[in-house]
Amino acid sequence: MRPTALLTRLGGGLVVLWLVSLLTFALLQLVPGDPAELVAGDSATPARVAEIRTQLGLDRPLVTQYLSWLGGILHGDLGRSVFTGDPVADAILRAAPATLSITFVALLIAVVVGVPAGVVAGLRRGSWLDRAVSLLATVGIAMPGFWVAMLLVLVLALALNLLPATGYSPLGEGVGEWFSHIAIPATALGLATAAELARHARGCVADVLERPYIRTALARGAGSAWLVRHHVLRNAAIPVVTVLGLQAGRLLGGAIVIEMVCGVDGLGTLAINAILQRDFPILQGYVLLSAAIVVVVNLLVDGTYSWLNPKVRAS
Amino acid sequence: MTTTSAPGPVTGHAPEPAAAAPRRRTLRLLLRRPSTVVAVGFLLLLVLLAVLAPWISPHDPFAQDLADRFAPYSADHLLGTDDLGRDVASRLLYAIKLALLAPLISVGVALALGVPTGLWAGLSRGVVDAVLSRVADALLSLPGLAFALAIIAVVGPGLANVMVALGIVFAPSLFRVVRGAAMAVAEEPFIDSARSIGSPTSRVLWVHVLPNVSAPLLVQATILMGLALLSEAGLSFLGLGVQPPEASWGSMLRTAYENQFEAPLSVLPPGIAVVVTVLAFNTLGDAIRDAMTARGRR
Amino acid sequence: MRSPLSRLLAVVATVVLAVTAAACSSSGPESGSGEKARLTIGAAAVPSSLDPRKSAPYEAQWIGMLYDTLVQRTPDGGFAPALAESWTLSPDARTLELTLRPGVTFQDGAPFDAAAVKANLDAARAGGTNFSGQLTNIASVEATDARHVTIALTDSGAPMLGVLAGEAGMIISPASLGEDLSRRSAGAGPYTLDRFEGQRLALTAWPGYWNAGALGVGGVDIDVFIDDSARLRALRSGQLDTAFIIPSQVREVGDSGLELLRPKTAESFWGVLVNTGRKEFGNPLVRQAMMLALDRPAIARAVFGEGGCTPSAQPFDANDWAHSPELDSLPAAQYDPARARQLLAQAGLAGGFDFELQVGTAQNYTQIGQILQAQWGEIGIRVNLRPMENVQFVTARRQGDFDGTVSVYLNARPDQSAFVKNFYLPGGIFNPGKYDLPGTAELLSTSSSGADPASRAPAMHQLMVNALNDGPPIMPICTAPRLAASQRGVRDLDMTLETKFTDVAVDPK
Repeated sequence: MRPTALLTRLGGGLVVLWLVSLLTFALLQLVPGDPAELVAGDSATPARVAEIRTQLGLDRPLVTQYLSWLGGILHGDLGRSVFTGDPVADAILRAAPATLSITFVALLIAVVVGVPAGVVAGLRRGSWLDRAVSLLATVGIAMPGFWVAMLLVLVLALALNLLPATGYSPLGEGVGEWFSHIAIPATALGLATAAELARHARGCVADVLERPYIRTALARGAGSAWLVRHHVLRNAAIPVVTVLGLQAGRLLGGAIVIEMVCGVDGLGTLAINAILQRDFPILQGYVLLSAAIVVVVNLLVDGTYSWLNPKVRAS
Repeated sequence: MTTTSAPGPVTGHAPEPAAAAPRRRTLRLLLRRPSTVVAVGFLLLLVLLAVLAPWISPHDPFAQDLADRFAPYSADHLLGTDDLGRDVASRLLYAIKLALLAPLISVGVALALGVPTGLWAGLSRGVVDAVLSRVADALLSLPGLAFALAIIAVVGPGLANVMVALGIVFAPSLFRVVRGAAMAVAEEPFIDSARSIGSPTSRVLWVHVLPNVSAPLLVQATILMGLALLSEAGLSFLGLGVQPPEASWGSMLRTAYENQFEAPLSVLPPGIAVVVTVLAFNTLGDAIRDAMTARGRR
Repeated sequence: MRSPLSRLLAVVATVVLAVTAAACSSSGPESGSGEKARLTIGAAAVPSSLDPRKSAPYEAQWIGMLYDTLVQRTPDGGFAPALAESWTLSPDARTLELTLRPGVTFQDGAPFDAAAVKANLDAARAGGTNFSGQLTNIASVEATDARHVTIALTDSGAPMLGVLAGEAGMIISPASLGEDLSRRSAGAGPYTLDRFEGQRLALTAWPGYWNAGALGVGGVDIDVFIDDSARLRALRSGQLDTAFIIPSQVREVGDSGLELLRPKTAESFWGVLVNTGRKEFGNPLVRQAMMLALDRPAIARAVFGEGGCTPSAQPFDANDWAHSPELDSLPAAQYDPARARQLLAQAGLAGGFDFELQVGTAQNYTQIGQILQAQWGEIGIRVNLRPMENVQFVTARRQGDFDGTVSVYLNARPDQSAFVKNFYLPGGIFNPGKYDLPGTAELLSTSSSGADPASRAPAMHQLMVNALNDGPPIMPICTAPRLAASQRGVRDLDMTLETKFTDVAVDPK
């Protein structure tokens, strides 16, 4: 990508993020229920509630609240949780490793399982293997991730006792522990993405095989190893990368319910609790972070795309 | 939950003024595949079951029997009973109505929001397009479920609110499809000629643009139906969707999850119902896309 | 030439490494301090603030570990010495004299004495705390000498002991009284604050505690698991030493070889509160009919399992002095739908009526709501269920913005008289319809005059029976003990609301 194109994209990304900040802030002002009421507890007097509202700065004009929030973000300060008084950035940093671990392992599982399955199916179109892969992929896309997680917990954790049923163990406390805790949620989360990738990879490979020059090469006796190395992978990689970009948001969203089923204290749990408690600052931080991740992933995808495809780079 | 299937192949085909004959051909193409016939048959069966539920249901889905909770599968209770001793099979049957209505309404809301804005942006270009597209980009960059949760935080839980929230979440992806197709159509010579002979804009839209946008739109909408059902199940699982004593497959999954130690098998029936129905929606979507692509190539 | 796939893998690998680094940089829990094992507790929530002045119901447990209380409430509902060594209530019940424990110091090194107690109580009486409302009947607080405090009261003072066993009795070091204590400790309790971040609270045993010899663990870690199933699964996997559970999990606890901890006295009850200012609820006949239509044993068994919640038409546990032994056998407390229909007809409501019942979103709320819908449906009352998220639910209840609401309430905190004040007296926080049964205030005053439970009981029992026969606006369903479960290696664990975790010990694993 040329520098100007890159700058345009970056600028576009920033505009998107700014719009997201505006939208979330506006949306959350419409929320009924007052966080001061909850902080005050069950038996507080109205005067006490008003006192707390002032302490939290909830009585200031909206524009002031938005500008001070936005100004804080630019200094890396996302505000403080209404309930714990914890800096939002800390809460997010604490929750992020669990969710990012699950999401990336899910992505890894999806790529390692989905792409080869799709490529093989595409190469042997019409074979029983192809049919099996296609069927599994179709079913995989239709399964709710949280249901898969429930089934895996029931079978692998509760019935067979092979894996811990719940929680998250930081990488720092041992890779084995870490992996055993995220194996179930990551598998459940990655399944649909694996299926999606397999379908796309299969379609692309099949598409490449249809091209006249490949047919000619095959007729001349070119081996399938040559074919895969020189033509199929390059052509298949582009749409696969594109799909990965589209999946970033889906994975983050899917993680919300799966984290709940698997008892993982990640970003999803943080977000749900923030919604239930009307903890505006946490929710705003979460939404902004999710949007930032998606924007960055898509910038990366754009970059990878042009790197993989010289034609785009030249244009 | 962001849209996963790129409707690429369809938008690529050359736009043409639609006529009745190709539509019938599309239908024939569509039903040539056995899997499509099965999917359509299954969805029709669901509609039939939903309509007939009050007459064919083995039990009253709301009748509690607190002495007979978590009853196992039996001849009387085909799929056992739930945490309040209600017949699971009957509740599953009654919930079909919601499993069909929820996707229909949320996709309907998405269409109502996405189509006009998409047409507007695609045909008028300029500032309108830039602003609308930026907003759509911003919305699409949010994880769908998180966005839906934020909306529900505002409007409160409830099935109707969930459907509206999902409609809003899905609207930007339809907006994009419509905008892209409308732009392509707008450049076709027949639009200019229609305008030059004095057809009013609404007529141009109705006769020339919409039919050409409808193909990619139909594909995307069908795929969104499956996604809507999955999302509704997730939100109802979180307790934000259908409210008790009504049941949806998602809320039944929640009940099963809460009681997974007492009745582990109860996670199966509602889950399988969701999977099979989503499968049917997706199969139909794929088939429509393939049929349209095949037609476009001809 | 590198293939695109290997490039792709390189990208993925880079990203994974980045995450790995991020995950590693988050600090893990530190290894136990000292040689004694630490106790790890799974809870549904930790306080948002550790300041006792900002404590909400159920938070006192954790905050009390940092501060200790003047009086210690025992698991059987009695009172034991703590920061106060002894106390006497004058015969007219208007003066309470406390004798303080000598030689006690705060964690900041300041001495604990009568002046500190007076400073705390006077500051709270001036307002600004969540318990200031409990101290309104104090006329004056005098530090007679360094070890003696005299509290003069404007009405019958028996309930004051319970108040001093709660947040009001958590004495803050006077030097810190003017400060924000939400994230630090300034008490004289058995534990000091180690770490407090979001979902985790870590406390370390304090060797300077007046009863340090009783401390059996090196520290206590409280981990939050909001989801009940996730919490129990964490306990089963050995991640926790003990955890709060819900009644429907009792069987799972037994099957998995864990120890069930059931308090001797249930500290809360489930009930339906109706707003006597709305719908037909101002009519005693309607409330009586609704009471008669409740099949309490069926609700309790279905929602809470066998023994999880004891069906009762009164809020107090059977071990509580305020519990009336004969109340539950009175006709008004029986399940009698036929009589209920008669009463409704008598009220001119043979065709029933509609109302909205607010419930929380958790399973036990929605289950109770659905069963009530069915049971009241039997006598023609049509219930529209409205599950509400926590904030809206709590707010609506406090503001009186409801027809009916299902909830769980503490029954004897800070004192049994609080139940009567909150629900039965005009001005009570849970009495939006200004329900007022003549004679209630007088009986309550009589009951609050005696120093010992035996003398307090008769008037309280009479009061509860009167309300039952009138058709109470709060309709108790069952009394619910807060249950917990623990690993076998945990000894002498007390998980009641006022525990300070002093005697518990954990066998080395």
